[in-house]
Amino acid sequence: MSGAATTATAPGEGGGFDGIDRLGGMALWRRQVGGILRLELRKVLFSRRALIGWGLAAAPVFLLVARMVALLLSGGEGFTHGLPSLMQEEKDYAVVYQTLILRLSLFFGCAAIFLGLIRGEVNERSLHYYLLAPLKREVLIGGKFLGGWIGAFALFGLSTLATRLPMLAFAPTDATRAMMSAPWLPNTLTYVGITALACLGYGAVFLIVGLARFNPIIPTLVLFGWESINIFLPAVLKQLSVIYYLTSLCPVPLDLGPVAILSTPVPALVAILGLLALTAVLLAWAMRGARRLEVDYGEE
Amino acid sequence: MSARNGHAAPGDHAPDNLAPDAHAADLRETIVIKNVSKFYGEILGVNRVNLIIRPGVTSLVGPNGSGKTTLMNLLSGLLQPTRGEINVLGVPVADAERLGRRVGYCTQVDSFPSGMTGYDFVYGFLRVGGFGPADAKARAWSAIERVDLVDAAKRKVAGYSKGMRQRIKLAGAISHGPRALILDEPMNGLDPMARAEMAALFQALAAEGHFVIVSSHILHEVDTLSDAVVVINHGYVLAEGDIHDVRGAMDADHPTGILIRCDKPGLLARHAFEYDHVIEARLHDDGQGLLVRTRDAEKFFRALGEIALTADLTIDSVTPADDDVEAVYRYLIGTSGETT
Repeated sequence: MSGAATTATAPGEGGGFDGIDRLGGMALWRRQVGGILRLELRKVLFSRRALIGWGLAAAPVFLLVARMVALLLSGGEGFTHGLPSLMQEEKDYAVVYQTLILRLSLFFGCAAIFLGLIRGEVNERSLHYYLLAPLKREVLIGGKFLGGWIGAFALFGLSTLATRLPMLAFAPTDATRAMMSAPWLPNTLTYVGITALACLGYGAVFLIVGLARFNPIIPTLVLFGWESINIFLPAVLKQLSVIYYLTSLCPVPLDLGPVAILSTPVPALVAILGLLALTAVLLAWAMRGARRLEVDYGEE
Repeated sequence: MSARNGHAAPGDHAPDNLAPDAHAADLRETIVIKNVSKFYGEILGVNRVNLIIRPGVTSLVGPNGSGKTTLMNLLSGLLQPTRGEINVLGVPVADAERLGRRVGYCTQVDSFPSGMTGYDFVYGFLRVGGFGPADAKARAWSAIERVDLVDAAKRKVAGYSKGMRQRIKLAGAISHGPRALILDEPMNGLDPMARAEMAALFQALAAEGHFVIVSSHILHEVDTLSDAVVVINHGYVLAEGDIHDVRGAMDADHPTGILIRCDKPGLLARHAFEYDHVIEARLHDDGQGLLVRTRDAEKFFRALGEIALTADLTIDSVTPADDDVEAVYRYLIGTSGETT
């Protein structure tokens, strides 16, 4: 150890933060959030933990590509009218998106990513790394949530986009023209937008669950059950779920069959504002809770 | 300084004049722990702790589970007190941002965010704290250089030895230039050379005006390293202050032992018993010295000069036999520090 080397900073009231203090609130928070994003994005996208997210994002893509290949190879045999049309594919895609993507891969992907923000750090005994850093707990939570959201949206936005591509094989003329026109382009943008909102809504819910001291698996499964039975719930209870607002935004409605309890979808603006408001409330709650966040890995 | 020997109710330990002292002291120049308790549900972490810590090296000693880490976690803001107040250089521990600027904590926890190199660990911490890329880079290298880990800085922490992990944690703790350093068992896993270097680093930091709060099981290192010591057990502070003062305060129950090497130990013993404060005088096993136990070491040292003149003794050396942390530990906690 080098006793002769210069100290990192001279001791003093301001320590090494005199320059930082001159930045002012917002500029400092931007820097701190930037520092958190660096670490979070690496964890969410490029760590071993990220494999779960990548796997869940890739699963529907593989499924739809495999289906497309099977259909093309069979020449549409077994299909009522030969190869499906693009319009027919939109209907099938709506089923895949609302069941497989929203209710399974995106739900559990967000659970893996957003539970990992706090709970994952506790399990890996690394939360103290963040809590010892000189920043407000609110900024820490905001930065982590933003990192989680960017990572989740990068994975599942890309996944949503990729799952929209196989249907272009059934475009009436060429795929490029179909990409640039209705219904593919506006529907694709809508689905990507819904994915972004889903990452926000589910992300905020799982951030809160991850902050609690109890095992997050049980509340996650309860939430999964609640979201899954949403179509069978009366209209009043439907509103107490994230999936209701997300499916209200979907461009192609599903035929839910005879057992589902139908209710009028909420207007798009209400759904969007509702999800944003839910996110804001949960995030504020998480920030407030983080002020009392304690770390004790039980080494004594 | 004060010491308690287990005769009073535990938890009563408090510098009697804490409140006036705390008020008199400049809060920005001290760490003040005032009537702090921490419970984990119904389990006691620490109870009714009152301390004023000043610049220099302060060692926390106590057996495993005594509350050392809890106290350190409270000082660093990782835990919040159930009761009481902690002010670190004028900042309450609930204020995470301002506290983080003043405190660097090298935890006992030996885990790191996954996939990081040593440099990433320090650099990332500084970036999260708000340092710009260039500043963070310079500070990270400066801290890494200070703990002598430059060559390994770009390697993954997962591949580090225990000693290297200790050093990179220390680099992280000092990187942002905090005034107070809290180091939980920082010597663990270090070889003797590295321990000596680390001890020298702590003393250098203390000499620069830092607060260095260290917990350690190695009592003879604590002895040579510390300006003050806090003895803690079962969540209660049993004694705190300068080690020799702490030892002195225990003289009534545990008379100080003094080893005198001289040419006529038997004659010395006969003269020593003429003084009321001497309660035991025993020839050393090698026959070349006398071990005296006295309730007042100062009086005995004065008396020793007179005895030497009167009895015409040739005294080779006079050394305290138990004026150290180990003795304090043994008397207060009842076991040898080495076993903890």
